[in-house]
Amino acid sequence: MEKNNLEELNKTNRLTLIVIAIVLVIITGLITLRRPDIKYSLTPAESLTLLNDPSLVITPDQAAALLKEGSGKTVFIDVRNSIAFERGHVKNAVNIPVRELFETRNKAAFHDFEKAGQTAVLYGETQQQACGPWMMLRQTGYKNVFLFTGSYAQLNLEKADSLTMLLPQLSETPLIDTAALKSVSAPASLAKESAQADKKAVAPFKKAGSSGGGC
Amino acid sequence: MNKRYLLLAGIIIALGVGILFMPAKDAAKQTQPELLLAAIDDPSRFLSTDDITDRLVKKDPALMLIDIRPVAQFKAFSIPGAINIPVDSLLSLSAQEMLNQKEMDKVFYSNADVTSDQAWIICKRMKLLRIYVMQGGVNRWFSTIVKAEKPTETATAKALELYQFRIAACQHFYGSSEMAAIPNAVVEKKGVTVVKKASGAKSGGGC
Repeated sequence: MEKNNLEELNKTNRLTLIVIAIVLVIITGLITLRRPDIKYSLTPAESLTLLNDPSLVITPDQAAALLKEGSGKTVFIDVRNSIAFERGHVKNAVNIPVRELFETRNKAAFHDFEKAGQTAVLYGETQQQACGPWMMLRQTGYKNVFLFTGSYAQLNLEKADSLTMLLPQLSETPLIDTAALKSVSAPASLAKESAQADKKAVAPFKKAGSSGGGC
Repeated sequence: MNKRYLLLAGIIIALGVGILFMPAKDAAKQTQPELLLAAIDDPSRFLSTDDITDRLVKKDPALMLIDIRPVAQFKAFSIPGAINIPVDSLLSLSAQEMLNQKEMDKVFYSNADVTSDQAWIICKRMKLLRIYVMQGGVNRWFSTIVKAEKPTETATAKALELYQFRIAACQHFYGSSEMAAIPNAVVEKKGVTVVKKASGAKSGGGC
């Protein structure tokens, strides 16, 4: 009878230990559970539809008007690196380089803009540079961010004259004269001859200038 | 019945119910935002028009050149050997099947590199492997390969070599210099003309 009691006691002790162990595991699990602070709020399909929405971008004309107005409702965000920013930037622009976008203070800054009812316009050296950060912000739930569809040079009015000529190269405007392409038919024998003529024209280059050589 | 048995069973059941209400874990299928941002900041996804041309000429079987412009633009002019996946149908089943081929290098291009980069970001988020962007898009391809700029007499040997490669590539694609008849670029309606870049500026690239 006494032996039985002892066995019973051992069993309950073991059970207690198991219960404590499980509870401990759960508690440590809960403590170490780190919720990711940045999460996607849009599915890939939803972010794809963003790209076709013209109300989410600021064209160069609109940007010029915003700059002139200067009401403080719009904050220009410069996503270039700090060296480029120091060299010159849009008046009152905030510098947030691409890689620092998700740093705590920058996330706080975007929340502050949202609270103050301000809109943020992202610009970079080219539209392509600002597009990545803009997509990341939109995908992670910031609604007051807009993409400038031009390059920094288009905002920087002093330098604009010398650089505007290069701008069409950087935008998504199709530049190839497809109408002219159609008029060109399959290669004729005449065309072949002219090809050879072209080749000859290439040949006479002298290597005079090769001293500039590479690395 | 021991009370502790009940307690134990209760905890296990509570955990089971908890798992039932856990949010669907799709995080594992997507690149985390921080990692995606780091990838966006890394320019290694950009391939030059010359790289692509070289691989096209050599008929690289691992190269999959993807034109993500609308069908109409693709039909009007496209790079020889490219396939068309308009950006709107990027997430369609057939497109995803195409992009999921692990042994292929998928290279996106559009007119410039804005739309193609957007497509890249979405694909990168979906953890597709070996995806790239052709820098400058079809506009630059046309102006560097089809309309290769003659280097000046003082250009480096490297620049001359590059020019001859471009001429040869153009002839490879189109058979002859028939493309000579086509203007370099459409004159924009606003009156902004695309001015040719100073010769050698692009082709000078050493290291």
